[in-house]
Amino acid sequence: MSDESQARVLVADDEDDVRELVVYRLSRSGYDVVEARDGEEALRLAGERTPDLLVLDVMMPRIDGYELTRRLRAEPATSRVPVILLTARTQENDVSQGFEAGADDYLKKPFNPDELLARVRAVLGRR
Amino acid sequence: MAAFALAVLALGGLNAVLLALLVLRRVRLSAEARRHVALVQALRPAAVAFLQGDAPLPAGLTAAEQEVLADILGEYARKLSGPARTMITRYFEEHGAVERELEALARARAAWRRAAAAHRLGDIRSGAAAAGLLAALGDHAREVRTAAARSLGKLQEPEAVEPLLAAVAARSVPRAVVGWALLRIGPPAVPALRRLLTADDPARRAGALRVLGLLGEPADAEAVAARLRDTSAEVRAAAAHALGRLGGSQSFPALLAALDDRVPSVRAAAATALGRIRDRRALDPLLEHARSDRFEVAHAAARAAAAIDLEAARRAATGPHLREAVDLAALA
Repeated sequence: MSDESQARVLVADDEDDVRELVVYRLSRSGYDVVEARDGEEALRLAGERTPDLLVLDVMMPRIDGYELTRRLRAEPATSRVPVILLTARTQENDVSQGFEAGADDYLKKPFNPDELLARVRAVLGRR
Repeated sequence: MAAFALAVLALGGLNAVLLALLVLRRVRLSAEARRHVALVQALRPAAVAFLQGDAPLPAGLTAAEQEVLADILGEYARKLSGPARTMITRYFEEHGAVERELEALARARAAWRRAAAAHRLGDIRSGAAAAGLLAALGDHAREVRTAAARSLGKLQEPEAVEPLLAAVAARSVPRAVVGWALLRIGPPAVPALRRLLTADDPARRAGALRVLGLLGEPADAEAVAARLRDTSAEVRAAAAHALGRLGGSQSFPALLAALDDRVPSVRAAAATALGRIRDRRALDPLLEHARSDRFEVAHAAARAAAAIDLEAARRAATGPHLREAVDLAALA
């Protein structure tokens, strides 16, 4: 990844409206965005499309965001890809569970799309 | 016999007509649902572009399209914050939605309609709705009062603090809902909570203490500690809990004294608070209460002692509560 704005971001959320908004925001900012509607599709696409970053909802059908992060960390190809969790679960132990699973950042819903973009930039900038 | 056959035929015909009507209704509802989904899919990209400040919303929409657009924006209102959230509020204000919902809240005959209006006003989050929602705390239907309380929390309306605590005192709104709303209001609620520490009604004083313990600052400890000498045991217990959350060693002597309060629930609250503060000077008095006080107090004291010094509690673990507290603390 030579240019941050060309980075590929995989966005996984089963809520169509949230996913569409995040995809729009990141695409408009120059990112190559891949979208998934559940954890299983996200896991498959993460293997096929080698994203530079994943933005994952926690409460997804089939595989939730925590489990998906754990599985990504267990695969050599995706073990170092940063993950931002986006979720309505905001209890302290939910946050720590996300970090224990291997997430790099955590954004609570309701969320500010500008803040999400700033975090995406920050996480990609740290790589 | 012929009459019987005629009746059977008539019933059969009626059944066939009813079945046909049901099928038609089902078909109509399915078609409506499909149309709705199609409209959502058609209008959502425009809503997304609008929320990102890239394009105005499309003009010349039909009434049905406007309704769907309002639903889409209402959904986003629950999921977004920041400038996009503000744009949604402005959209609803400019399109008269606040007035419509306030009218429904004040005048709809069915309670569920008034409650739905209160919910929607919370999602819209226009400050113009505050007065109507405050008035709805006096609605005769509990679901309307509860919805209004939630929405006042979403509006983060500081003026709502006193009426919300009055509603708890009158048991007209569930305590958990009011607690949630006050926490949503957050720090702007604190000045009103401080004023309420000396309210005439003990239930209001206790309610204010519970929330102040979560939202207040260490500097509030002195005023809160003064409530440990309140005439109401409910207030004294709430003050002890609040001090445990506010922390600070200056409240230690008052909490230690409250460990000898004549009311067991106050002693238990004081023990719990001392366990949170973790001042070692409380260890011996707590161990003493863990051995000799009533169940509720002994249990709280044992857990507090184990939180302060697990090893000391283990060595002193002669009673069932201390043994249980030590075991639980070791698991944590």
